Amino acid sequence: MPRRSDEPFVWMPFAAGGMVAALVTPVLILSTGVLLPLGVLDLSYDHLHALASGWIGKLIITALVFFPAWHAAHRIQATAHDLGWGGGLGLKRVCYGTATFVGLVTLIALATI
Amino acid sequence: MTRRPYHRPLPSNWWRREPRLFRYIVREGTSVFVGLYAAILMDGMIRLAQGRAAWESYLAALSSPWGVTVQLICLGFALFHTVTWFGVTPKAMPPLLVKGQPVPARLIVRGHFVLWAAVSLLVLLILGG
Repeated sequence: MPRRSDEPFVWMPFAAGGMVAALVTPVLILSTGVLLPLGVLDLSYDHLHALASGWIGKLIITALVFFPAWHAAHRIQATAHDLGWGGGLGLKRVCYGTATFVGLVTLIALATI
Repeated sequence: MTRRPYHRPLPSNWWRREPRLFRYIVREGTSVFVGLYAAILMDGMIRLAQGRAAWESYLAALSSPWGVTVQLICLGFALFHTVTWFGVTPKAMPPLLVKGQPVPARLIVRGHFVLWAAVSLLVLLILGG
């Protein structure tokens, strides 16, 4: 049996993360970084708590954190290689490990709400 | 016996030599800020789980001069990511055929921008709720 590549399991969340980061991340930053400070959005505790109370909300929020984080991990390790900053298995473990940690912490935090 | 494959020397400043290579590195570099913002959101969910006071101090941090500065930088890179990501979608996806004819790349890119506007509006409506 030929050894199969594990690349699809890395690349598919990367592509999903690229799409999520392209479609959703700018409006989230606009909300928390511009509209909130300007007072246009209040992002009240009660409203956000309600959004995060159901399982669908928890899964959507986790996806909005995890997939862009994985996307970033993949690009950072690939670009580090391109820039000649080492790369290799150690860097991959740090990058993908950090993204997995960020996603898991988000999910665990949301699960306690 | 050791193998010593030839590695063509690559100067460390290769990406600063040509504008298109520089744009490539900036495009890939957007990921640092996308990742940073994901961490900011993770922090937010931790604070939300900790209760009302923790959430309010998180909102205050987001609205502080430092918070706004970091997020404006993240926003600039995120927008560059969006534009470049939509730009490569026709090349990255399988050919899209309508009645046997390939859909022009321009239309695919434009479709993504329309989708982006719709998603952004939806998110604003949900957050403003």
